[in-house]
Amino acid sequence: MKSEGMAAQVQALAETVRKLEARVQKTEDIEAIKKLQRAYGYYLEHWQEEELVALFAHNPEVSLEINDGGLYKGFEAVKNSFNFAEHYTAYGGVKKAPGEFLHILIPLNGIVDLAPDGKTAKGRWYGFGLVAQRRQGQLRAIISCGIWENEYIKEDGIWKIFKLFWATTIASPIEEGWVKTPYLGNVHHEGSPPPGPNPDFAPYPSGHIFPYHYKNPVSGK
Amino acid sequence: MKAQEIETKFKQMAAEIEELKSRMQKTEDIEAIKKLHRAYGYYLEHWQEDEIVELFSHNPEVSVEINGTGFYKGWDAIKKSYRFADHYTAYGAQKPPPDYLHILMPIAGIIDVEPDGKTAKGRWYGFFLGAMPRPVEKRALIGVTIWENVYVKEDGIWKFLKLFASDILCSPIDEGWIKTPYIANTRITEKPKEGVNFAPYPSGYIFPYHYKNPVSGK
Repeated sequence: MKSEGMAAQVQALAETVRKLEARVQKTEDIEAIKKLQRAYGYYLEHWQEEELVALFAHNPEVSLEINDGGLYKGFEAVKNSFNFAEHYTAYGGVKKAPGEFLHILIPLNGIVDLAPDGKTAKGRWYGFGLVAQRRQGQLRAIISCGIWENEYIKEDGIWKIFKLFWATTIASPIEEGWVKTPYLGNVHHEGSPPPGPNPDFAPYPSGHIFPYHYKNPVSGK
Repeated sequence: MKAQEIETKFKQMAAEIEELKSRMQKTEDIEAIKKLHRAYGYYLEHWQEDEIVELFSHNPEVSVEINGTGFYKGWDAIKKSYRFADHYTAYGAQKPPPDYLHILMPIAGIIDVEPDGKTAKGRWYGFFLGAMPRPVEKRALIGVTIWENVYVKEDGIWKFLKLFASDILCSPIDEGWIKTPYIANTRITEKPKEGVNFAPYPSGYIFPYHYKNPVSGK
């Protein structure tokens, strides 16, 4: 092969390697984001607030919105919102979740899409919940389901939660079911921002379809 | 481009391709381990014991630990531990009857492959919907378990090396987990080893994580 032909081939190969690297990076990013969201889920089980808060970006735009509980903007506000004593006042101001408290909320069916620049991403997940909490003075066994539509951001090579948005679809006492009692109500953080209105928080039986961050993967519409 | 430059570029690309191969390998390993664990879940539904035990390594260190009810080390001990007739004595049968159901879905798997690519660790939730005698009367059960497992790659195939399951809840669906948090497992064979991590609701026990916080690294 003449050196001119060789040079052209080298350029073409270099381009292929570059494209492959980008594809590998994208696959790794999606898996890292899935790990992040799943780790968030495991930390919710016993409300490990320090671990939860550590998953959020220290970015002025970072935010958290749970149902109609208000929009928490900025890292400090997000951090405060996870404070167990203030969030779950039914436990008399204890700092840590007691044994009877259970907040299993399993992230599943994650659809994660990276922005073309690879610096942010969006993800939709179901959260399937098996919960034990005090509601109106009574310890209840609650089965629940909701949707996360989140944004993630990559900072210094590490994926973090950028905007977390959760909307409950059902939260019912297990012995009553979701036709009799579709939604037991929210636990509001003390001194939280003004609640809603939030059009995407509309539990069963509203029929509300939480908007998708992605287009139909087949039609592209 | 001069011959010298072409050679330099080739060497550089060869190194980049090697790095890409190892990154691709890791991604494929994670997916293969997820398939392995999910396959285990599907085989549990109707307790396909022959299929289940095939998923375990023949390494002498292979082990299974289910709650506080037993620690099984070595492939033969594991094989025995999955024997339906011994496990579910209430049926007096070799195979599960149609009214037996053991759906235990592995979900939210976090898989971390060791740097040498030969072993990996995984944490999963298991979501349980079962129908079986507890202890005698057939009950519709709902539950959650945590797995923290070790997997090993042998001859290019990922297998279970250490399976560890710890139930959080196992309740009759009509009673819920406040009234009846946990109906004990039917498996009563070997004694649990010392210091077993089994503490269902309402213990508040946090099953140790094999990974560090993915953002703080602590």
